[in-house]
Amino acid sequence: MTGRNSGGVGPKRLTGYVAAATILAASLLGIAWANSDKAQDKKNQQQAAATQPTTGQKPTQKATDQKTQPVTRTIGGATVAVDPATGRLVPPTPEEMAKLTAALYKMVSRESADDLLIIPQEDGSLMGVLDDSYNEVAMATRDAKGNLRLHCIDTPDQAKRVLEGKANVGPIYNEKKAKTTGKKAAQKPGPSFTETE
Amino acid sequence: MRRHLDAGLLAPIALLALAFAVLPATPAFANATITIFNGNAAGVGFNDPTPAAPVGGNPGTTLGAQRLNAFQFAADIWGATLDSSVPIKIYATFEPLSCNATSATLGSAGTIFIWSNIPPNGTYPGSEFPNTWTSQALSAKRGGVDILTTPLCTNTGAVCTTNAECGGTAVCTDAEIRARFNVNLGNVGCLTGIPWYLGFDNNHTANQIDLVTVLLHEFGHGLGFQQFASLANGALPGGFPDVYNRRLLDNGTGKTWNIMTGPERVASSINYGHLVWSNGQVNTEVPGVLAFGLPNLRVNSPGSISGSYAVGEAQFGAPLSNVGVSGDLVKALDAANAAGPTTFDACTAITNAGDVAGKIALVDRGTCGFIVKAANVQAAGAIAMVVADNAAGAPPAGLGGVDPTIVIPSVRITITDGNTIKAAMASNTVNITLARDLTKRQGADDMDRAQFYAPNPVVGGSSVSHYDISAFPNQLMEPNINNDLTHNVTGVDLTLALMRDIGWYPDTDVDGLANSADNCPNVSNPGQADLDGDHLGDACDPDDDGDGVNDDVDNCPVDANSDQANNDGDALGDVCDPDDDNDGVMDGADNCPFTSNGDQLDTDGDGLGNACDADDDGDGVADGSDNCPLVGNTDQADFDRDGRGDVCDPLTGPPQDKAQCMNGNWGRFNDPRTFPNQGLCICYIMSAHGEKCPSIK
Repeated sequence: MTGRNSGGVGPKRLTGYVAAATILAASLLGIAWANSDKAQDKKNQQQAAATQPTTGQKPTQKATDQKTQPVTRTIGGATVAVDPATGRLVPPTPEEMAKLTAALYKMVSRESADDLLIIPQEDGSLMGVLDDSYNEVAMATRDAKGNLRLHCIDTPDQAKRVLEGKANVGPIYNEKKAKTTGKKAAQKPGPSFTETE
Repeated sequence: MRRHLDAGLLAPIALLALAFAVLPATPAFANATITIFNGNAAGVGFNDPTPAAPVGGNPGTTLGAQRLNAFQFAADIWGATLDSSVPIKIYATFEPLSCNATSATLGSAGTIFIWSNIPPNGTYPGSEFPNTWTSQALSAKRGGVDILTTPLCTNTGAVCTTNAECGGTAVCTDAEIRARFNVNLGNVGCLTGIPWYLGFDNNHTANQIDLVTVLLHEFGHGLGFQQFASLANGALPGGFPDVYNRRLLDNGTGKTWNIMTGPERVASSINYGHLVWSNGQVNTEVPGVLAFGLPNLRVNSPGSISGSYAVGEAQFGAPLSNVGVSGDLVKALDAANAAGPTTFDACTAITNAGDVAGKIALVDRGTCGFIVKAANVQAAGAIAMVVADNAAGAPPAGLGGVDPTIVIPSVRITITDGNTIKAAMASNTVNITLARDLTKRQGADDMDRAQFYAPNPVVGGSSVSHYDISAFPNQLMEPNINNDLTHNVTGVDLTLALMRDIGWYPDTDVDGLANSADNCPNVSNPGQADLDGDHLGDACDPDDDGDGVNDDVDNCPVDANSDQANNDGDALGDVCDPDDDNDGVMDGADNCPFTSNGDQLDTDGDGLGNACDADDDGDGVADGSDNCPLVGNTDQADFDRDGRGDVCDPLTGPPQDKAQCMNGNWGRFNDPRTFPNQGLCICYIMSAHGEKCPSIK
């Protein structure tokens, strides 16, 4: 039974193995962060306490027992580490972050559309199963001067440029707003992409 | 069934959180209901219990609640903009995403499945084009039915009941859109100190990122503002174009993406300035949205290269004005030295200041900063600077840097354009103007067709699935999320127009019929009944029968009766009253439909009840002059002349015997006894006995 009509039409692979690729990416996220050693755990907790986001919420609850081991929880299909005392996520280790980055690259690595998994439906419609590589991804980068820039990307090269700080071009997000509501400005405020040399 | 939330779908620990995770439907005025399905486990993401003070209109009191509220707020904005009878679900999670101290993945979103060949369904039109992909939410709208009958694994499309069945990061859901956002944003090592702003009022600080704005952009992709062809090889998914491809036009080749070959699509994706929307609502709205004033370099002479050239503007110096600055272009020369290896890089003092003074300096990009070059040519007396790029690419990027002492305007041109101009300079004086072109809109081509982002090579943002960065005012769906965006997807923005063009037709009453084809666009009436044929459906017509009397006061609202005749004075006019005389006999069976006659008496059996029959006895004498109206007596004989015909007069003649005549015993005759004289009486009797009647007077 497939989605649209419960009619028992089974999935039909035209080419490739999208699912396998997705599972591979998933495995990168689905790590058992509970294996982090105590030192890293302590460091993470300290970081979390020191960098509570200023989104209007009150300060983080008090730090957890440093000896408390994270427990794993499932978030969107991925296994992540959670501090059992606070219930909050334990910041990823560098190793874990590297895997997240690999997952990001995978998310925007649509090299080809040839291998789309297509499932015919009884009513004649077709369902295409998109893997994560079809996602549009929003990223942010901050340059040395503190200028923030937000980009919507969909290729590994773009993701890499952002993560490596090479995408510090384009309109600055956190500068004074270029125009006010009401009367429309006459021209685009400043260059869209800039390089200094 | 698909609405059932299987307990096995999530870990038991998350069930409590899920009980309140799915927010209520969108506000009453929304035309599409978009709900957020909270995919987070208890205690994290949307369920983070960290106390939080309400901020910017977001009433949540925990971090998790505020996140979920912000998601729903953004979903509601889209929901109030698009029309669909099918609820749209977004499976959302806050989870760790890749980041480092100075950059971060904010989040992602996209349709989970794409569909083609959706069949029509009653008034719902189905797919607009055969063999053409559309996003799942759009497919459901056009099919008029929740397209998934059961949850599926997002990675395989297989029927499932739990996420675990799907494996990896895939989830089991019947949602249309998948969204992941970074739970660590702002923490140390994850764009440190730059967290989400969760308010609804867009009042984020310089050190916060407005979640709602990013969500509006990403949800836009998930709802269909996206093409699915590979930009690596141009391949189409399953060989089918998507509905977005059908509108993408390369104005250089004149082809839309759906009819291009793969290599042609790849080439078009980097054909900067030439990728435009072919037609439709987007281009219709361009004149009302995009402003004139495209910055450019115009070559005035020589004629061989005259025309407009794209430029990247500078952050420093004077901005380009509408009038601009004009002058001859001169190569600024400097020493080739450690500061700059060529004599055209302007990294040191200009050596031909005499030639440059009062002219526009042309220099090459490279080695030193743009502000260094600008300072040097300005010192030499140049009135403006043009930097020719030293690497291939388009559009020409802007010139960054800060130096308040620089007052001359500067621009950058592509290496290709630079070479063209340099070649002309070898044998000609090149005169140019740097200005804003008030004949060209920012973000549209010469035919006012909206341009799409097709940089070469790919630089900062995503290609093709965004409007061009030159668009002004800034558009929600540019690759850069600008800080001047408001929390709107309508207004001075082409986003909604594109949604219309790809198939999100306006259907305010969500009855499947586009407003433009709906005789009641604001009232659901799939049947389109229009009694009076006035093109205003009965469901919204104040005068259904078109008789000039509005339905609310019309005694027959669906039967034209401008006179409002009502024989029996009840609430129904005669034309729609089944019993006009209200005698309990329906008009169809009533022998006097307009005269109350519950007994239906019809003496002469002529079909007309006596109550309305002018000649009840059918004797040819109208009742009004008939001396026996209920007894046929054509001769109207009235022996005793009392006004009652003999046939209906029990006390009339003729006399029965002579005695009655002879002795005057006329007791059986009515008064007045005005019948003829005695003689006649006698005569009558005699005649009755066969005797000859004497002549008597």
